[in-house]
Amino acid sequence: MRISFNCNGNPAVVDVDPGLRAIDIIRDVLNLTGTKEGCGKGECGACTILLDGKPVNSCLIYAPGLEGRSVETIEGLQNSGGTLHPIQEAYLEEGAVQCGYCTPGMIMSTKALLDKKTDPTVKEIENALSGNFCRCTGYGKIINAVKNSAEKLKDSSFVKPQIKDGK
Amino acid sequence: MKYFYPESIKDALEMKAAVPEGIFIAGGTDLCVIFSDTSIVDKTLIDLTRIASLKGIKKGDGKLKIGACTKIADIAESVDVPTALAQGAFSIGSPQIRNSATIGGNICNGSPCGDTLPPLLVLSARFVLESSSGKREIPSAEFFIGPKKTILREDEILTHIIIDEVMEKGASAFKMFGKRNGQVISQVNGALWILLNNNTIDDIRISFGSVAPVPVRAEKTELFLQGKSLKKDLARSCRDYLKDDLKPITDVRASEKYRYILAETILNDTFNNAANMGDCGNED
Repeated sequence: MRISFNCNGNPAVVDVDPGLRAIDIIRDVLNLTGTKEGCGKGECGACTILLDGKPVNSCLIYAPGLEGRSVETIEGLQNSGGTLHPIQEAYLEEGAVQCGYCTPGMIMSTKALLDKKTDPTVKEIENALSGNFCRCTGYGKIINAVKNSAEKLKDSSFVKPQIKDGK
Repeated sequence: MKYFYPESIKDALEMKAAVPEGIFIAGGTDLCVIFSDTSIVDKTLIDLTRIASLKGIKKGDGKLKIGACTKIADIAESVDVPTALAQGAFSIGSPQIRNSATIGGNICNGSPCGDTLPPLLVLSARFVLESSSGKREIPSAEFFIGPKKTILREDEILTHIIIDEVMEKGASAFKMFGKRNGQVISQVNGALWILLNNNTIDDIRISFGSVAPVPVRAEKTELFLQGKSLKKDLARSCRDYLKDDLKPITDVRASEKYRYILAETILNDTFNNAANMGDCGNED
């Protein structure tokens, strides 16, 4: 089955079995291995991607679920010049990355939150990240990283990569 | 695997008739988990999420009509649905799950822990089921017959959920307890709908999940509260009736005794919330 979608601002066309999950398309067909599989059951959030701007578990979506949609993965955050996104910088600054396995999913959920709310409260952060589990950090530094990200994003000098429709 | 995505209910029913072993799928947040442990190579899925008429929340003709493929996230954020239903939807899973899951899926999965189920029961919701032989409208209280067992026939699709607009005259609330704050299956959940006449209870409906094989109404408790005047700790005084109404079990998530305690607190908090009496417990 031919599936066409937009991935990190670029058109993507794949020919796959419809039973292939989104996470498998992203990792194995498109070679975007930043997105991780933690549980395969939609519980840990390591596989979080943004689908039309909303966080979803890519391990619970079959190929046809991507048709015509816009997908953002962790690889899409940095500028084309390789400059890290402010959220990525914030996570590194705050020491919120230990083994790093949960981090891509955490960052995608963070981006989805900060795309909607410029100044989230701690409770709003906890809610937004409630579908992302971390076994290393104890979450404190991750919360700080989200707050740090919010501050950084208020500085308008970083140009966020724009997702272009169909181009 | 074969995958179909019909664009109308009629097409979906025709596909099912042509391929009886086809499985209807919507958000996939329950089915994909089940399939993650099996081979799906020889399965056929009929995806309902491209059927426009199954999506959306509409008011009109004295009814609120919710399409079964409406996302749980949209229900949680909607100002048009009664509070208890929005709160129940918000309690489901995680943001990721809510962005994929549908209310129809939560209903048809028929788990006694389903967080939209007690709200639907107290709101006297009706479910519209459609097959190639026609439509039927079933009261939500009659839909669930056992853990993950419903009266939905193999060839039927749940298309809409109907709540009469008159329910808006009352106030409703939902609460659940789980072992953690997010991404958790309810140990006990409950919803309440109340119609007050000044300070007297004109009508009250109470439903709990995870305390029986299906979500249940607490009928003796309701009867006790009917006609009573609001006063402090009125909900707490229902303890004995609640014990009679509920038959929880001890399982991996909670003991029977603890479930009674949780149910009592849920009754207190949802009652005070809906009746505006303060003392609603933690805002979570």
